[in-house]
Amino acid sequence: MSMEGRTTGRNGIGKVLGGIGSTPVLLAIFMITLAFNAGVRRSHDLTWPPYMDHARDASFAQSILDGHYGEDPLYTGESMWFTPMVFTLEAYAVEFTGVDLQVLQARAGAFWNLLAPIVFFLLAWRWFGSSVAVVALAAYLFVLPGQEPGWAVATYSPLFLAMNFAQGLFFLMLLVLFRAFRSVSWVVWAAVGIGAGLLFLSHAAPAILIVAMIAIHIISRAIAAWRIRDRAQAGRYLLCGVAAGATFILVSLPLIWYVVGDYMLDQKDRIPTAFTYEPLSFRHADRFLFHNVTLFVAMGIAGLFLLFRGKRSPQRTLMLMWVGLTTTLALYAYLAMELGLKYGIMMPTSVPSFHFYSYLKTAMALGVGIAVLRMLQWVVDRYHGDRSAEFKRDRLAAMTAVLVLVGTLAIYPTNANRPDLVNTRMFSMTRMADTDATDMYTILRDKLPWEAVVLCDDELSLWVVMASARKTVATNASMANPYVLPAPREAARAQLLAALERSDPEAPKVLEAYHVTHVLVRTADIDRMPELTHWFPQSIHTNGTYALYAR
Amino acid sequence: MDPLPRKLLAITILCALWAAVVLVAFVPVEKDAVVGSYRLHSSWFLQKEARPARIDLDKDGELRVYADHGEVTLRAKWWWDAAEGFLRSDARELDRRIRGYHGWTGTTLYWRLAPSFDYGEELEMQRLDR
Repeated sequence: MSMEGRTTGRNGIGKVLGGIGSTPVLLAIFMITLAFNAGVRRSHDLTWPPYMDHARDASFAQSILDGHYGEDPLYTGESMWFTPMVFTLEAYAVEFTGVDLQVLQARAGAFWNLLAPIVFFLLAWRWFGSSVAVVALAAYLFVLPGQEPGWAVATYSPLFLAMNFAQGLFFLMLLVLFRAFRSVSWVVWAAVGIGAGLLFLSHAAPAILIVAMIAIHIISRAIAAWRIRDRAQAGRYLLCGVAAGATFILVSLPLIWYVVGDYMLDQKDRIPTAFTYEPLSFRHADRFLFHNVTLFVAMGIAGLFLLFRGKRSPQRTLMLMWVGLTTTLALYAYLAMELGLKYGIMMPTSVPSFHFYSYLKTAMALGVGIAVLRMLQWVVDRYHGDRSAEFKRDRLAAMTAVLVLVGTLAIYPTNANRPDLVNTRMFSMTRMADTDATDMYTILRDKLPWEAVVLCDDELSLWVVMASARKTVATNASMANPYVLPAPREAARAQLLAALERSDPEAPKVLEAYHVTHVLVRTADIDRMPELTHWFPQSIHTNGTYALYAR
Repeated sequence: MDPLPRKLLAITILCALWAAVVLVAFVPVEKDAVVGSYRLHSSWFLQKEARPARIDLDKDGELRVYADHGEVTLRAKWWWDAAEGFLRSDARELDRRIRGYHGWTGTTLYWRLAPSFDYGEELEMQRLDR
């Protein structure tokens, strides 16, 4: 089926680039700059990022700035375990610009994340034509997010998190695969492996999708060639697979060196992957339906259905893989989590289910584009059936442009004030208002050595300590190194915090075992801690809310 | 018309529309536009969460929350944070629970079902006094 709008007669990306200045490109610029405007307005004056995920990223970025890449910034003697692309970008941006790390985290996402809508538009244009691309972009930017948080659905968001940033690279990789699927050159597939490796360094979820697509394609083609006894062709596919796999491993060494080399991927803390975005749990099915019984989803499914029952093409194959893998992996991730929590059945897990839900909804944005174009095509055929093909094509392009323009203008005030943007800003402002926490964070970062271990409760570890990249006994298990068993550390922390309130002869052994050098407490709690100055006699810094002591 | 002037005209119109929609979307909501009596729009799906039957936002800064049978379940002070578009209150469970923005049809208020900001399901507040 043809989804093309006006084309220039050239092929590939050249066709897209040749269209710069055309109506679809002007509309795309119109929409992307509107979304950008909303993102910048909600983040331009923030000085602290909103989520604890940012504190985790800051700890790793700070580890680079302190010259300790490869080490776990929170747990002594442990190794780096998180996908490093975003925090490495943050560290080098801080190094080169001198801007404060937290300011960068709070504001830079609005700029960096522009990659996603731009590449999404190029992808949609390359696969389905310019008219589908503008409708899909409008759906992706302004309809898809609805009331859902920006970290749970794929759309343009000013949140500078790996999951948001990696979207753009995922779409870019789909463009690369679109080209590579027609090739049996090992050089092309080696390049694919490099791209997949870079994507893996950015975020695991989209990398899993891309690697699975590569594996399905290579294996199925090799088997098909083998079946018709074309062993040379099967060998070529095998070589392509080896080339892609080898370059993937090579490029992702900055991460797998540690998570495979040091930990053999033996995930002891399953809490991070057990995290479930509430609307995706059966218990909150009402909220799932609230977000998903929508015209967007209905149109998305209709568009994908139209595509899948159409003629075979590389984009149809890729979309089938995209939808099939995201659905399967989202269900698997949720099932593995439920079986683990309820029945103790431990299945391999990688990332929480909402990441795949997010990419599934992005595929639906393309489905919306396809469905809308098919409807407009029907209208044009119905009322201008006797006119020339060129007239009908122009009329279709004009109707699409007007529909997208009117739709964008109508929905923009709601979208620009959606909960994702407004509530996220409130999280930042709440943290910014705690200036004592920021003061203490600065002291920890600037005055304490890299090896320092700060005893504190769970909340303080996230709120103050984590971003400073100074170590602690135990932090919240959802943000901690998943290759370290959380229970012993949590028990040690509880024992040591209790020892501040009543004498515990075992405390020195535990303090030594975890190399504890400092303690961070709230000044309001000091009165109920008579043993505090016994274990930590030296006052390092006190402000109105927090106090730091050393042994 | 030649292609170039036509393109320039299209770009000019797009720029004007861009500026107009941004102006509309970011007009600050003032307190006077918020004062009134409201009930929450119902949703087919979100039935489990507790919600007030009616909310009064008085001009003198008093806020009243009503249960289904008309009983006042909460009285509190309220004021409007025009810069951020949030209702502030001395009642902790209502502070920043209601927000508003300016759209094509005027001011729209939303009630967040969860007390925390984490998950954003909201119901639109429908004016009763107009």
